[in-house]
Amino acid sequence: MTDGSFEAQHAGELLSALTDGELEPAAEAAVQRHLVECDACRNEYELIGRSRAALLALPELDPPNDLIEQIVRRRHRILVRGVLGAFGAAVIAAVFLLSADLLPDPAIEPRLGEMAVDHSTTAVTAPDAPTLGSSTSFGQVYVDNEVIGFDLVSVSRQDDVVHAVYRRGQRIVSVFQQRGEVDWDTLPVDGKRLRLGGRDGWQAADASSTVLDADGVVLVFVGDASAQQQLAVEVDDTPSPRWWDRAHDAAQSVLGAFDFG
Amino acid sequence: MPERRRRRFLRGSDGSDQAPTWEEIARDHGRFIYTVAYRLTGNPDDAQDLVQEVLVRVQRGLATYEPGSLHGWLGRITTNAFLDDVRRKKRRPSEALPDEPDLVLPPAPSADDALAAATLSGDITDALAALKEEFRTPMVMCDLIGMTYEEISEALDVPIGTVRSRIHRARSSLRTSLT
Repeated sequence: MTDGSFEAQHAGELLSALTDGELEPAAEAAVQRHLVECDACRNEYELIGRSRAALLALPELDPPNDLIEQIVRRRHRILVRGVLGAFGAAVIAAVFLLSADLLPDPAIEPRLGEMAVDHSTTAVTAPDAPTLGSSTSFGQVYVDNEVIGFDLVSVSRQDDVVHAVYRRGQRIVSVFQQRGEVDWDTLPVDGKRLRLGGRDGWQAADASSTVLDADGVVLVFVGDASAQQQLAVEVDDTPSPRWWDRAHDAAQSVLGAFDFG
Repeated sequence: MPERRRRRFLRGSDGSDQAPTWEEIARDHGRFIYTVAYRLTGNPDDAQDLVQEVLVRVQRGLATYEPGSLHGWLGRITTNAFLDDVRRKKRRPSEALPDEPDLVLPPAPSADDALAAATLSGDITDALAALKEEFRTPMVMCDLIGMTYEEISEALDVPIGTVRSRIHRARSSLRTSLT
């Protein structure tokens, strides 16, 4: 570069901005004049243009696994179910992803008995299971491997319920996630309603399971924890547009209270 | 003379004065959304998640869409959703941020015909994905979505000079990695 001002102002950035039409007229004219007399900058300018052209020339990509059609079909199916629900269908199936965020939250009856069995089954192998990766994508649900000292050791999904198993030492806790709102009337009467981290919750009489309604996500924790411990939970109420992120945040806040010592 | 550019790439080409339906957008422009999502995220898994999030936002924002640059509108939604996710992940203490050396610092420009040798789009795709997010994002916003530096500056909440610097560094790095 022969022009001192160019050297001082990162010539490459100016040339890149010139390519993008982002220079003011006076600066643009100055750079253009400089290009006439400077082979190095002219060459650089040409390479910048080719770099940009190469990016623009990339073809559009086909979404994998028929992604778009799946989303469209799922939305249709749920809309139909929503109409049926208005006429008395007992249950509107909870679904994930797009359709889940487009419709009112379905009422959920936590299947505590089945969850207790699932928890017992997985808890047998959990102590020896390897920790999963840093962030596991499972059916569009991301689960972090470490949640306030707990390691994620397994994650599975049955119908609309995602079951994550966390471990800390020999302590095992299951977190069942499902989109919807808790139908409180379906829970055993000997349990107690409580507020948990600013959210509505419920806990079994023996504290073996805890249900939390977390902004359109139902979380069921199976493990030992006292209500007193859980009431101390601080919840990050930062809004999240995606329900599985809300589930993550809620699970993280509540798991922190499972201080098994 | 380079013409002043604003959204001249990927402008919606249907010429229609009527706003498309959600399903039309999903079916007819899903590939575009996925492509932008892939360029931003650099991997197919995150791109799929992003596409679904974008279509949720499209559903919610369709009432406010003004016929015109549909791809520009979709590109902005995609970018905003992506940036929200990036910021969200950075807030999570359980997700360690990569602590890598600054891999994208471009060495001095080298071979004249670096790009001439990069004839395979897969090479470019890989090179793009290898860029650090802070450099890849403004370049994608500029080149693929057609956003101005000012718009990118507002979206990323960084000065225009930083936008200009990052775009140039991204291009330099892309070029170098293709050498």
